[in-house]
Formats: sequence, C-alpha cells, structure tokens
Amino acid sequence: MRLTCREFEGFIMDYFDGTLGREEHAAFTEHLEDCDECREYLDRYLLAIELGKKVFAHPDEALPPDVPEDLIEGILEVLGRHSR
Amino acid sequence: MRSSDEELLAGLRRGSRTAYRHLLREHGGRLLAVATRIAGDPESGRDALQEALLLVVRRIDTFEGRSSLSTWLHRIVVNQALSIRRRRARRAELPIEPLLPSFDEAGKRVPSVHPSEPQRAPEELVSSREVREQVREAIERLPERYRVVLLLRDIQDIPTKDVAEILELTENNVRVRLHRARAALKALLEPMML
Repeated sequence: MRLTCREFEGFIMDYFDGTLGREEHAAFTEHLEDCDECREYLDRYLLAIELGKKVFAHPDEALPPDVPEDLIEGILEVLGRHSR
Repeated sequence: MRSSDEELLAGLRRGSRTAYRHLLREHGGRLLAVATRIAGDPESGRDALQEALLLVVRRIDTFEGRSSLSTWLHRIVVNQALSIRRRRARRAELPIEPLLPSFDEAGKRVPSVHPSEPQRAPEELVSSREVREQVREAIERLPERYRVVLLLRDIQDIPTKDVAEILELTENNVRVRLHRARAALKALLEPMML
C-alpha cells in the first residue's frame, strides 16, 4: 500500500489518535520517510500546535485556576437581583 | 449523574445562593478560562460567565441530565462567549480554504512557499511577546467553527468526546474541524517559524 500526499494528509489525525490499522500505519510511516514535503509539512503542523499550547501556557497568558472571589460575589449579586 | 451533581442541581433548582457559589467554585475556573479564550479577552470572558450564569438560572429546570452538568454548563458558556465576541466585532475572520494544504492532480503535495530552513525552537519563539501576540492573533482570525474546536481541544485540553458533546457535533466532525484548524494555523504561523 503506497500513499499519495493527499491520502497521507487524510491519515494524520488517525495517526496521532493511534487509530490507524497496521497496514495503514506502515504506509503512513513509509510515506513520511520517503516524502520531504510531507515530512516538512508535518514538522511545521506539529510546531504550530505546540506554539499555540505554549503561548497560552506562558505566565503572561495563563489564567487563574479559580474564579476570583470578587467576581463570584459580583455574579451572585447580579443573579440575586434578577431572581427577585 | 454523580451524587455531588444531583445535590448541586437540587440546590440550583431551589435558587440557593450557596449552590450557585459552590457551582462557581467547583466549575467556575474551567468555565471562566473557556469563556475568556473564546470571547477573546479577560473582560469579555468575565461578562460571558456572568451572562451564562443568568441563563443557567433561567434554564436550570430544563436540564434533563442527558449530558453531565459540566458539559451542559460548558455549552451555555461557549455559546455566550461566542455571542459576546460577535457583538464586540473583533478582527475579521480569514477564509479557511486558502490556508489548507493543496495537492496536484496526482495527489502530490504542493510545497509551502516558505523555504526549507532550520526551524526555531518553540521555547525560543514564545519567549518573545511579539510572537505570542502573533500566535494569539492568528488563532483569533480562524473562522469561528474551527477556532472554537482548536481552543477547546488543543488549548483547554478538553477530550474530543467532551468537545463533541459541548458543541453538539459528532466526534468525527470535531476531528475534521480540529485538523483543518491546525493546518490553517500552521499556514498562518509558518513565516515566523523560520
């Protein structure tokens, strides 16, 4: 089984989810070894995902794990007014 | 449904302030993060959470337990955050098609216009405030149907199955949208990778 680049593209999600069959997995890795364009594409695809994750995990971008108490009280106040 | 959810639900249905406080302490952090990422900034995120809670008050009697309470809350928060983002008319979205990979008639990949050069390490890239701004901007400009899936799945790390339930999509649909979002993000970020 030999894949075209288009078929390779269609297998990327399954490859990372670990849901490719044995033959498809072998064809995917074979194409990855043989095709410079797809190898470069996949490297950059993975780098884009990693960049997104790292940007939002950066201390300047990270969000507090809990809702600040003043916001909780503010929301409860508004809910109280609307439920009267 | 978990017994703690049932207890909480009973309190919410009674309109108990203690139950709403508990809900915000138990689920609020994750909901606020989702609201902020989707609405686009912290102030809009807080507004989205507050508006979502007002809807929870109004709709709690219609919650039938077909999904978990957390999924139901996330769905309301996502929709409210999207609504606020639309009202505040943030940056225009880019069409997705030109950002997706292309292939010739034989199915061969058309290579990127960006030349092959050593890539910079992600740690090095994100240390720059300018790069972080560009990455956030690129995600902001993805079409909504793709951006939301990317934010929930890759940034908030919510499992595909839960994202599907929150957005009322099939898991396969989530996976297709996620792949397209990632491919488009890769195209947008490529110039800064080199």
